Order: sequence, then structure tokens, then C-alpha cells
Amino acid sequence: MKKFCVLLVTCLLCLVMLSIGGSAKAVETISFLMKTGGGGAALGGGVELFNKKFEGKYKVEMVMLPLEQMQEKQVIQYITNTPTFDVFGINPATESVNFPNLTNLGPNLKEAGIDMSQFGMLVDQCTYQGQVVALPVRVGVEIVYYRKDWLEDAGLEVPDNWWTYREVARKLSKDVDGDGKIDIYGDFIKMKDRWRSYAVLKHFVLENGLGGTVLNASVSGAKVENPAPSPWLLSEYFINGLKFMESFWKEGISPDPVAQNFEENIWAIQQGKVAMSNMHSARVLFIEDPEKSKAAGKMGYTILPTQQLGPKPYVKDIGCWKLGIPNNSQNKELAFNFISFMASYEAQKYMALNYKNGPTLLRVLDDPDFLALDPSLPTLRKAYNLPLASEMPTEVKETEQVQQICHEELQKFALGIQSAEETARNMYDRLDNELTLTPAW
Amino acid sequence: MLKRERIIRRFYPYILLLPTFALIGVVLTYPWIWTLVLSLYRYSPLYPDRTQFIGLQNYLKVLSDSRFIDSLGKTGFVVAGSVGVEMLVGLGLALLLNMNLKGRRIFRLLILLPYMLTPAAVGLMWRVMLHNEWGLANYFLGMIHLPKLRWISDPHLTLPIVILMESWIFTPFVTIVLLAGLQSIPIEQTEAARMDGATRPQMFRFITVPWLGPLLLLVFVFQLMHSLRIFATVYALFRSPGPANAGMVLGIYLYETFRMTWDIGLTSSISYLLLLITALSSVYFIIRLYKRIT
Repeated sequence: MKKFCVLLVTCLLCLVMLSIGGSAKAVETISFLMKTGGGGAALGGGVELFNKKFEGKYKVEMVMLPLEQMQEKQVIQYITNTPTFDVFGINPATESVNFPNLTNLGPNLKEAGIDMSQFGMLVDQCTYQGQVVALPVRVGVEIVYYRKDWLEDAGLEVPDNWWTYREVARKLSKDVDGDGKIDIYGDFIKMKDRWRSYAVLKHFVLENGLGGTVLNASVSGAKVENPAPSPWLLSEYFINGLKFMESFWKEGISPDPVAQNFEENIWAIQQGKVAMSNMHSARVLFIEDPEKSKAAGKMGYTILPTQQLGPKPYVKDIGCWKLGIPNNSQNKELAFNFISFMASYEAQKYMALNYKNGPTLLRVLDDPDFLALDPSLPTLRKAYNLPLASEMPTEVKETEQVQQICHEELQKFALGIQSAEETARNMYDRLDNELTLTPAW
Repeated sequence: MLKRERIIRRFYPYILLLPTFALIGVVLTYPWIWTLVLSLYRYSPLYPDRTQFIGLQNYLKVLSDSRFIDSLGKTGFVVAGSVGVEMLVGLGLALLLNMNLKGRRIFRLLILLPYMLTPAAVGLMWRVMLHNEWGLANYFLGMIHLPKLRWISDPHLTLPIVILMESWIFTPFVTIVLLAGLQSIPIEQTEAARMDGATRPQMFRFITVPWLGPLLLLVFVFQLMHSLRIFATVYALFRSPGPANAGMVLGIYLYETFRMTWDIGLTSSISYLLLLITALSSVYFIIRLYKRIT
């Protein structure tokens, strides 16, 4: 009798599990991998909207991981050819790994009647070897965050070039308690990790008349065989740019850059320790949170200063998160439906209004509902109109190896281990000798 | 029949162990062999069509890389420092906790707390504490009128900080193991020694240390093997190989090489070299331990 009861319960349990499994299968499900943080939270809102809209028919399961782990999962999927995820979130740093392994969306876009021109300059960032392989869903630019109240109290204007920016930062740096040490910094330069070091180099130096990149801008085309360092790296313009950058931490306008990254920057602004700083526009969310930030409601935003350091025109770098479908996805049709929804006006507006997502559709930026919610929006709109940095092929553009080489040399420079001239020379030589992308293969 | 029974009895234990060995084989042996095979190839997931057998070239490339040699030196420094501190402080704490002190039960519990935290959480915690501008460490230094240190950005402080963090996490493990060993020392031996007029240092030298010998060797081997593969604490603290690559220990070197090149073959060869280094540095102690136990 006892054995019979055990057998009966086991059979019932199996039936229940089968029915659950069966009913789950009725809803078509895909999985989506994205990074944690503001981007994950914002796109999570879009996923929520999609699931609500298509409840009972389609479902997207979202997995969020830190950037490095996300990238590793993506690479593992390609190496092992296991279709764990159907959609990947991709940013400029992870393009080189992903783009060669993504599905060409051209036929789907044509069939769906989606016009890529509505994304403006972001189309280039979603293209690989002439094919559209991703759709942009989240944009951000580096903007200046500044304490409006402190600038007004000091009678200072918002700086529009790096020279006045430094002057304003000097005047706003304060020793509050009279102990001879700066308590409030005028600026906050970050060089702790390679992404930030490279961004600092671009904003202070490369974008200001040197072509916007450390690599030779004349190297172009679908397949790069011999990426070469930019000859501008050995110019007086570049060396002077490094020295200008150095003046910020040498004079105490910025704290030790080797110890800072964007997390410390956010804390510092939230705690009222920094007067100005440049950061990704998506961080506005954290700075304007009144529960965590003493600076909430007191901030102003403007585009990055410019200056004509070198003879080339000023250029800007705008990065965006895009969604792509790996080649080995088992449900490309639903995956495309999802990513095209995420890039649609409906989802872009929803994410921007509710999750402070930087929209990729320009017409969303013109929506009057936004201005009240996001004070950085006019700045973002202005930044979109600036000329883009020269487009490098994906194989070499912003790869981690390029960033790492620049980062190592910049850190040695910031630590006083080598001069600006040595930094420029070493950066050039290492980019010339050490890049192991297409040439090695 | 008897012969059949004898055969069954002889092979029966192996049949029972077969599932375990099969699992170990799949989980452990297969990755080992596959990694070894990959280390003989030039292979990247970015360019799978360009995979090429290159023999030992990956190993030669790594061994001739100045960064690898540099990371070996840094790892050696961290191993010597962290294992040394863990053993000395761990033994000291174990001796203290073995004494009849008031509140020792609470101390025994509290001392385990660092060991319960994940290395990544510890790294983040220390990152906040050691922040150059607003961290607790410099705050307390300022209170006693000492100059502030550039904890996170001074390359000369990087490895000492790593040693400190690792010791903070793993000393409790050493303490608890040695405490268990101390408590297993027969009380008659210490009493007899005391009655014979032995001093505390003599009792420590001639009774405690010999009794603890196998355990000391055991924790030493564990900590040695662990320290050679440090990664999480360094990366959580610096999110990079540290200022001017000052924290580029072997684990970080392996990770960074993979991230920079996406060359699975090269990275596999580094992991095998790390395995070899770990095995070579601990085999002597393992043999000694085995001899002591048997």
C-alpha cells in the first residue's frame, strides 16, 4: 500500500511538471543578455513593456551581468556554438568581439519597412562590413556636469573651451577647513581603468583637432590589414595636450586620477566634493536622485568644452548600446521582433520617460514630455549635432587592446614615471608593434 | 560459481566507483586535456577559420614575454608575503584562542567573519576604505597627524595591500585549522612537561610544533596553492592590473592576456604554465605531508 501511494504521488508530480512545461512552451520565449547598471535597468523597462504587450504570446527573459562577464558569456556562446542567448546587448567596447558573429538584419529591416536613417549618425555604429547587424537602443555622450549654484555664487560663466574650463575649475577648487588640502575639487579626471583613461585622452586631446583617434584615420575600408598609429601622436599638439591634461592634477584641480573611476566620480558629486566633471549622460539619474545625492536639483549640464589643439576639425564621439542577434540563435524571427520593438518610438519614449534612457530616435528627443524630466536633454540634443569622430573599422576601433596600451602609458605619465614626450613616443611604438588583431591572423 | 563470485567481488568496488570516476573524468579530466590541446593551437573565437596548429610556440611566446616574467616575480612576492603572514598570525591567534581567555567563544566566531565574505566583496570594501581622498584609512591617518597615503594609486603600495587583504581573508582559516590541532594535543603531555619544569617556549618547541607539524604543512600547502592563483581580490580592488600594472600577478596576467588578444590558445598555455608552477611548488610539501601522515 505504501509503495502504491509513493508511486501514485510520483506519477501525479510528473504529470503536474509536464503540464507546467507544456504550458510554458506555449509562450514563445527568447533570452536577452545585457549589462547591469543604468543601461540594464533602462532596457529592462523596455523588456517589461514588450512582455506586457505580448503577454501570453511572446516572452523575453533578460539576464544582466557586469560588462566583463557579459562579454565572456558572448564569447563562450560563439566558441562553443551553444545558442544560450538570442539577443545580445553590445556597446562600442564589445563590438569587435560580437560584430563578426551577428546576423545580417538587412533582409528583416527591408521586410519590416524600417528606415535606418531615423537613427541618424548611429547607423554607422550598427554596421559591419557594409551590413546592418544591430539596432541602436540607448545612446549616451560625455557631457559636463557642473554645480550651477557654485558657478553662480562665484560669478562665473559656464566654460565652452578647455582653457576657460581650467580657469573655472581652479577658482572652484576650495580648501574648506583651512588645513591646506583641497576639499572640493574643481574637476575630476578618471584614469583608474582603461575605458576611462582612453575617454580622457579623447576628450582632452584627440577630439580637439587631432582626428579623434590614436589610429591612423587614413586606414579604412571593410577589412583592416595593418592598423597603424596616428602620426599625430608624435606631434607637438599631442604632447602639449598631454601637458595641459597634466596641469589639472599637478595643480590640485583634480584629485589623483589613477585612483578614480566613474563610480568614485558619482560618489564625489553626490557628496558635494566636486564642482565640475565630465561623465556619460546616463549618470544624470544617479546625480539627480535626492535620496542619495546632495547635488540633486543643483546641477547644470553642458556639452564638453572644445579647443583647437591641432589643425584638424573638432570631432565628437557618441557611443550607443545596440541589440544584435547572434548567428547561432534558434529564434531569429522573434529576436528581430524584440529588437525592432526596442528601437521603436513606443519603447524608446517609454524607456526615456520612465528609466532615463538616452533615446536613439532623434524625434523622441523633441518630445516636450522629456524636458521636465531630464534636465540634461537639451545638452544631449546639442551633442548629437556635433560631427562624429572618424570611423575606424570595427576590428580595431576602441578595442580593449588599443585602450589598454594607451591606458598603461597614460598611467605612467600620471604617476610621474615618464614625461609627456616619452608617453607619446611609447604609445606610438606600442601601437605600432603590439596590436595583434588582423595582422597577426 | 566460486570463480564468478570471486571476479564479481574483485570488480564490484570499481563498478560502484565508476559513476564518480566518470563524473570526475568529464568535469576535470576532459577540460584539462582539451585545454592542453588548445594550447598547441592558435585559435580565436573572432577568427575561427584561421585556427592553426603551432606546437609549443604559445609556450615559447609566454616564456619570452617580459610581462610574464614580471608577473612571476610579483606573484612570488605576494605568495611569500601572504602565506608568511597568514601562517604566523594564524598560529599566534590559534595559540591565543586556545588559552582560557574570557570571551574566547565570541572571538572564535568573530574571527571567522572575514573568511565568510567573498573575495569580490572584500575587494570592493577595501576599495572604499582605502580611497585616497575620502577613505577611512586616510581619515584615521589624518586623525593621528600622519601623512595620507596614495593607497590605490601608488605602485609601491599595491602588492603590500594585496598581501594585507589576502591575509585578512585567509588568516581565519589558518587559525581555525590550527586551533583544532592545538585542542587535539593530549593534555597529559603538556602537564608532564610542566611538571618536569619545561618553560612555555620549550613546550611550544618540543610539544606544540611537532604535534601541529602535519597540520601546519597542510595549511601551508593549501595557502600556497591558493596564493599562486590570486585574482578576485586584486581585480575587485583595482578593476585592472593596478596602477602602472603593479598588481599584475599571474592570475591577472592570464585574464588580461585573454581580454586583450582573445587568443584561446595563448591563454590556455598560460593556464597550463600556472598549473605547472602550482604543482612544482607544492609537490615537495605534499610528498612530505604524505610521508608524515603515513
